[in-house]
Order: sequence, then structure tokens, then C-alpha cells
Amino acid sequence: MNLAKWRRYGISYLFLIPSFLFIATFLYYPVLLAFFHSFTKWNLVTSEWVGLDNFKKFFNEGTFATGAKNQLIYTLTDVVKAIVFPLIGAELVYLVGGNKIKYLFRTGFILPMLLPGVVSILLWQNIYDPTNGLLNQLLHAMGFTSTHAWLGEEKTAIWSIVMMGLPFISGLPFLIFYAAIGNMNQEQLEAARIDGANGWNVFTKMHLPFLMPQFKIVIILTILGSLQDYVKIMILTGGGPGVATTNPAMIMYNAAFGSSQYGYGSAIGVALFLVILVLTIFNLKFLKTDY
Amino acid sequence: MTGSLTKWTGGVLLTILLILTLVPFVLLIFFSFKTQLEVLIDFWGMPDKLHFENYSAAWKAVRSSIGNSLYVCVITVAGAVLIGSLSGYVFARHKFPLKSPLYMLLIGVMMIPSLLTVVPLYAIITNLHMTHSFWGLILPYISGTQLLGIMLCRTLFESLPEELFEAARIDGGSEFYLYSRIALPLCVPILVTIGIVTFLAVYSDYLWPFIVLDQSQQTFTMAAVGLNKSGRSDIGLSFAAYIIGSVPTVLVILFGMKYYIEGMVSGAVKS
Repeated sequence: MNLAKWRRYGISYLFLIPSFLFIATFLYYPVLLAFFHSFTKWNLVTSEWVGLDNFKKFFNEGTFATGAKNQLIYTLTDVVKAIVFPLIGAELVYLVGGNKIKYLFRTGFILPMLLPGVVSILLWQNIYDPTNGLLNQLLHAMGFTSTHAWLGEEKTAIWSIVMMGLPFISGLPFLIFYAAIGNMNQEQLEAARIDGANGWNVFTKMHLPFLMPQFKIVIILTILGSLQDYVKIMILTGGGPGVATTNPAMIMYNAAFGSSQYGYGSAIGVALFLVILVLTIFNLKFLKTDY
Repeated sequence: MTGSLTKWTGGVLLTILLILTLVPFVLLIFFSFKTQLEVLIDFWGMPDKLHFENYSAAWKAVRSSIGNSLYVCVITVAGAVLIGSLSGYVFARHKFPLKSPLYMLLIGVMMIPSLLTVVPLYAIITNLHMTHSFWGLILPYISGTQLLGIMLCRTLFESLPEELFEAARIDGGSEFYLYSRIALPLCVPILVTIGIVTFLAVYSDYLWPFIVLDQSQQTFTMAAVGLNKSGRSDIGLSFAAYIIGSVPTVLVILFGMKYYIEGMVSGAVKS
């Protein structure tokens, strides 16, 4: 009896071996390595204990201040881009009405999502190109004589990255808001309108409160995403010119894969992870969004 | 009266926003048919004819990289779907000690950002001699992407009636038989969802292949970025290459639009 029971358990555990082998080797073990080597000088083969030196170096280096300031810019603008524009888009699609037109607009807005993300980034890199870029050609055609290397000049580079993806509607937030607005109680909205509420009142008093859970999800996901987003920076500017567009994640990448300081890179990764962890716990405890 | 005016203004605004959204898209197609000379001499002008030779040149430039990407995608999808559904099945239909701590251990993986693991993972892959090998991509990809499969399959398998399995058990079916012949066929739509989300995440990844692979075995995203760096000389060719390389994602999305949105909304995929 007991033996048969344990045989059954054995089969369960056997079936779980592949999953756990994978996550142990390629997820949990790297986490342990990251924490351990954040206190070492590491060249992937040998490592030397240096205590908190990596962390001290990270926070004391001049690039950290720039990186943190840039991160603030990226995160704040990312949140605005993820809330305001997709919401305007979704509301307008409903305002314009007519099922066929709605479908047409919705499809149009999500069309760019068909392309792999890297291709969209490369297209914007072309738009900003100093010689053959659309932006300079457009300015030229409108009679402006001064042209810019948008991604290559210290003053314009970070804002060029921020403006990438204009008008910021295409994406998951648009779909989330669109679906949520469609799920609102139409009779209630109609009743409010009959009682004399104008469109603006319906929007601020009924739509916005109703969409609060969606806002919370989108904001927290956007903040977490923006802290971890460096692929776009890497492709567009590599963090430059100088360190003008870098962020902490980009500093981590450059430390590890640019100058082979793997211990230092691990330390930055750990520091960023702790920030992400605090935000996640805060979200689970206080905002209680479900994603 | 005011209502129709608002509607009209809204419509105009919406149309402007849509045009702005589609500008990069239109550029992509427009310039893919122009020669470099036409771009330099007359930026805004229509091409004198549709230069399909851009496409044949681009195809030569990126076909092997697309092949590499597809190879990695297909193996990762197969692995993630099989392993994920197997564990999903166990957690849905079996009772055993430590079940819920083990499940938490699996789901806890979602708290690990790739940012934290990218450096040590590179060390592990290096020590396993898997740099310059597609397995250096595939194995880590499967580890993260199986999660979605475990969660979705667990939910679905739990909803199946026990009689289904009881009957097969009485007939002497082994556990593996129950999983592969009864549970799996009933959840094909979910498996397709998982496959699509996994495929798109893996196909679009740039960072990890760039770190692990050699230029000679580059994936499509690596080739695309490479074209833009060296290829300022030929926009037409680069753009044609982007279009060709986007065909797999477009096909996969069109094929599974409904599944895809469902999967995206129900949980972000890890890679």
C-alpha cells in the first residue's frame, strides 16, 4: 500500500525533473552566481573577493548620476507614453463609433506590432539618420537649413530616444484600454447621458474611475519594463554620445560585455534587481494589481 | 449638433494619429523599392520602377540568418511546449508531498529579471562550451518560456473531468499514456497559444544571440542590426531585408491573432 503510494509519487517527481533541471541550471543557479560575484572581481574563470567595492564603485562613479537622471527621464516619459496616448487612441476609436470604422482604426493602430521590435527600432534609427533620415529631409523640405545628427548630439540624443514610436499608441496598453472600455456597462453610460452629462463628464466621472485597475497594471508594468529596457539604447546609441543616453542597465551591459568586468556587472544587476523587487513587493502589498 | 461636431473633430484627430502611427510602416515599404541613387538624388520621389532586385539581394543577405532564427525558434517552442505541458499535467492531476512549495519554486522564476541573470548566464554558457552554439540560446530560452505552458496547462488540465482519466487508468493506461493521449490532445488550442507567444519572443530577441553567437551564425535580428550599421550605403536593401525577415512574425501573428492576444494578456512571457 505504502509502496504503491510512493511509486505514484515517484512518477510525479520523475515527470517534473525536466522543468526543474532547466530552472535550476539556467535561472536559480545564475541568481546565486550573480549575488556571490557581485562581491568579487570576476573574469568568468577566477574571482577575487572585494567586499562591497563593486557597489561603492557603481554609486561613486560619475556615470551613475547621469544614468540615474536619464533613467528618471525614461521612466517618467514611458509612463506618460503608456497611459495618455493609448487612452486617447482608445477613447477616440469609441467616440468615432460605427463598428466597421472602429475595427479599421483598431487594426491600423496595432499593425506596427506585426514587426519584430528590433525592426521598429531600426526604422526609427533611419528616421533620425543625419543624411538620409526622414526627419532631416522633412525639415529640409520645409526650408530649415540646419540639420542634426539626432542620435549623435548630446542635446538631442536622449529626447530622440524618448520620441521613438510617436504617437505611442501601438502596443499592449492600447489593447488593454480598448478592451476595458468595450466592457463598460453601456446602459449606465447611456443613462448618464440622458440625465444630461456631457461627454467630458462621462469620461472623467465614469471612464477614468472604471479604468483605474488597468491604469495600475500598465503603470507598474511600464516602470518595471523601463528599468530593464536597454536593448533600444544599445542599438540606437550604445549609451552615447559619451554617456548622454545611458541608464543603469546599459552601464551594467557595458561593464560586463564591453570591458569584461563581470563582477562589477553582476553588482549593478543585483542593485537593479533589489529596486525591481521592492517595487514588485510594493505593488503586491499595496496596489494589489493582478498580472 | 455639438455631438456630431465632437465626433467630426475626433475623427480628424484619430486619422492624424493613425497616419503618424503608420509612417514608419509606409517608409519601410516605400524605400524598399528605391535604389540608393534614387534615395540620394530625390528623397521624396517615386522610384522609376519597383526595384525588386533589392529583394533578391536582401534575400541573399539574410536568408541564412532567418534560417538560424527559425531553427532556434522551432526547437525552443517544441521544448517549451512539451516540458511545460508535462509539468502542468503533474501539477493539475497528481497529489504528492511538497506539491505547492515546488509549484511556488517554479512560479517564483517570474520574479527573476533577465537583467540579474544575463552576466552569470553568460559565464555558465561559456563554461558549458555553448557559446557559438545555438544550444546556448535554446536551453536558457526553454527554461524561461516553459513557465507560461505550466501555468496555462495546469489551469486547463484541472478543469478536465476525473472520469476521463479514471477510465483510462482502469484500462491499464500508464501515466505517460494519460498525459500524451488524453490530456494533450484536449488542449491543442492552448498549446498553439503558448507556441505563438514563445515563437514571437524568441524570434524578436536581439540581446542574447548578440552576446552568445558568432557573427557567422547570426540570427535575423543580429543581421538586421548589422545591415543598419554597415549598410548606410543601401537603404533599399536594408528595408527589403527587414520586410523579408518580418514575414515569419507576420504569418505567425495572422495565423494566431486570437490566440496571441489571449496569451499576451494572460501573462507576460519570460525569455
